[in-house]
Amino acid sequence: MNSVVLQAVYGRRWLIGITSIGLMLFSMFIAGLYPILSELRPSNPIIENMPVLFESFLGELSYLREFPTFIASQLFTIHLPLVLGIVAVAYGRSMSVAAERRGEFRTLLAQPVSRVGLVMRYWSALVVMLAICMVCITLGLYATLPFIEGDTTIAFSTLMSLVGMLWLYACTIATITFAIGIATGQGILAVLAGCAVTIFSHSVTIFSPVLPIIVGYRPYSLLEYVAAVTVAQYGVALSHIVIFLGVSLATMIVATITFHVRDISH
Amino acid sequence: MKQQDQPIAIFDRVTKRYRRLRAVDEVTFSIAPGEVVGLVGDYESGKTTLMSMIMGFSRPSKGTIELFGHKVTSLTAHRVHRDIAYAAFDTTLPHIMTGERYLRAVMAHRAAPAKQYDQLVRAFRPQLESKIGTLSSSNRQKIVLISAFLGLPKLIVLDEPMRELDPLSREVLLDTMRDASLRGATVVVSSQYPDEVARSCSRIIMLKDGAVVHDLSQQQITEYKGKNVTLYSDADIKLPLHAAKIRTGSQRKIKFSYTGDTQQLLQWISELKGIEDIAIEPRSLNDEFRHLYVTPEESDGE
Repeated sequence: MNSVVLQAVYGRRWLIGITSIGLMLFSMFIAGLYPILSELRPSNPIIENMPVLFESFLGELSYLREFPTFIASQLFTIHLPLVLGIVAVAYGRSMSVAAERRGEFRTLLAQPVSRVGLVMRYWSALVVMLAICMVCITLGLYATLPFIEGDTTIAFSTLMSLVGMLWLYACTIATITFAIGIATGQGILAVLAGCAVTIFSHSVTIFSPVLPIIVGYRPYSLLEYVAAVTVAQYGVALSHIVIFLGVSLATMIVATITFHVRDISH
Repeated sequence: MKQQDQPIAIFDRVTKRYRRLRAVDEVTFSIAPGEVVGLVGDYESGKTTLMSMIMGFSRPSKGTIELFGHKVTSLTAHRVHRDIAYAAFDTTLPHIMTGERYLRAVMAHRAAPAKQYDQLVRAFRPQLESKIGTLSSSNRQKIVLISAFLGLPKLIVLDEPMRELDPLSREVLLDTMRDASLRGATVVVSSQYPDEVARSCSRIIMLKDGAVVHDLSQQQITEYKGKNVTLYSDADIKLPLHAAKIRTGSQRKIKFSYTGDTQQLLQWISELKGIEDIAIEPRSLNDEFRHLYVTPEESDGE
C-alpha cells in the first residue's frame, strides 16, 4: 500500500510543489497585512465608505486587533478556504478521474488488489498531498512572523488547531470531488461538485452577516464547521470534526459501492 | 474430471452492451490449461472488451466468466490475480522507476528465478537503466511483456502485445509464449494479425462484431485451405462461386479469395478470355481474416 501512495504522491510532485508554494506565499502575504488591518476602526473613512458586501472580506473589525483572531478571521476563514478549496478540487480530480484516464487503475487492479483497496490507496495519497500543503502553509507563517510589526504571538496549539481544522475542511472537499470522480468516472461532474461545495460554503459563511436571506443556509456550509475564530478563542469543537469525518465517510461509502458496479475506462 | 483437466477459463454466453452497441455478443468457449489461445479480430471486434472482462475491469451485461473455477466479478476478480499476469499495449508503468528496478520488484513479488529474468532480458533487450517515463513506447512494451512472463503465472493475458513491438521483438514474444506454454502456463493473446499469432497458438478464435465466427484448432490452423487468385485483364470478369473479391485499387488487377473446389477454379480460368497474367497462391489465415471483413457489395458469386 505504501508504495502506491508514495508513487501517486511522487508522480504529482510538480502539482503539489507549485500549489503548496503558492499557498505558502499567499498565507505569508495575508499574515503580512496584520500591521495595516489591525489599525482599522469603524470611524476610518475607508470603512465608513465601504460597500456592504466588501465588508464581508474584512469580517468583524474587532478580530483584526489581535494576531490569533486576525489569522483565524482573515486567513483561515475569509481568504485561504476558497483558494485551498480549489486546490483540493484539483487534487481530488487528479487522484480519481485523471489517474483512471492515465491507466493507473487498470495497472493496479491487474494485481491482487481489490477495488476497495484501490480507492483507499488513492484516497490516502490525497490526504497526504493536502497535509503537505498545510505543512507548507504552517512553515510559511512561522517564517513570516519575525518580520511582521506588532505582537504576532500565537500559541503553537492554537495554530495547529487552525491548520488541522482547515486541513479537515480541504480533505472533505477533496473527498467529495474524489468520490464523485470514482463513482462516475466523469471529470466534469467531479470538478463541478467540488467547486459548487467550495463556492457555496465560502459565499454563505462570508456573506451571511450582510445578507440575511442566506443566513438559513449556514448549517449547510462546510466552512461554518472550521469556525476558525472560535477555535482561536476557545479551541476545537469535537462535533465539528465529527461532521467533517461523517461527510467524508458517507461520500466514500457511496462512491465505493458505485465504483464496484461500473467499468474501469482506459 | 481431474483438477488439471478442468478448464482454466470458461466463457458462458458472455455479452457486453454499450447502449445500442453490442461489443461482445454471446461469446461461449472455454480454455484448457496449457493452451495458447489467439483472439483475433479487427478494430471493435470485441477483443479488448473480452480481455477487460477477464480481468474484471468491466462486467458482462449478460453471461458469466469463470477463472480457475471462480466467477469473475468486480468484487472478487482480484482474488485470482495472484495467478494471472496481464500485459496490454497501453499498460501504465510507474514513470519514476527504472525498467530494471520495476522488473526486479516484480521478480521479488513473484519469486521468479534470476535465471529467468536474465533470459527474458537477453531475449527482449529493453533499455533498463533509464526511467520508464523517458522510454520509447517500444521499450516500455518490452518491460511490460517481460514482467508478464516473470515467475510463470498460471494464466498470462496479453492484449495486443505486438502493437508497439519491432519485428524482431515480435519473434521473441512468439517464442516466449511457446516456451511458457511448454512449461505449463496458459496464454491468451489478442491480435489483429492471425498469421503472426498462429505460429505460437494452439488455437485461434476469430471475432467479428463481438461474436465468435471461427474457433480453429491447431490442426485446422495448419491445414488451412483455399487460394488467392490474381488476374490481370481489361475484360469485365464475373467471379466464380465461392469467391470473394479483394480490393486492389486497379481496374486491370482483379484479386479474389477462393474456397471452393480447385478443379472447378481451374475449369473457370480455362474458359476466361483476355487474361494477360495470372497468379494463384495458397490462402493464409490473414486472408481468411480479411475475407471476414469484406462487405457484401464486394463479394461476387457467394
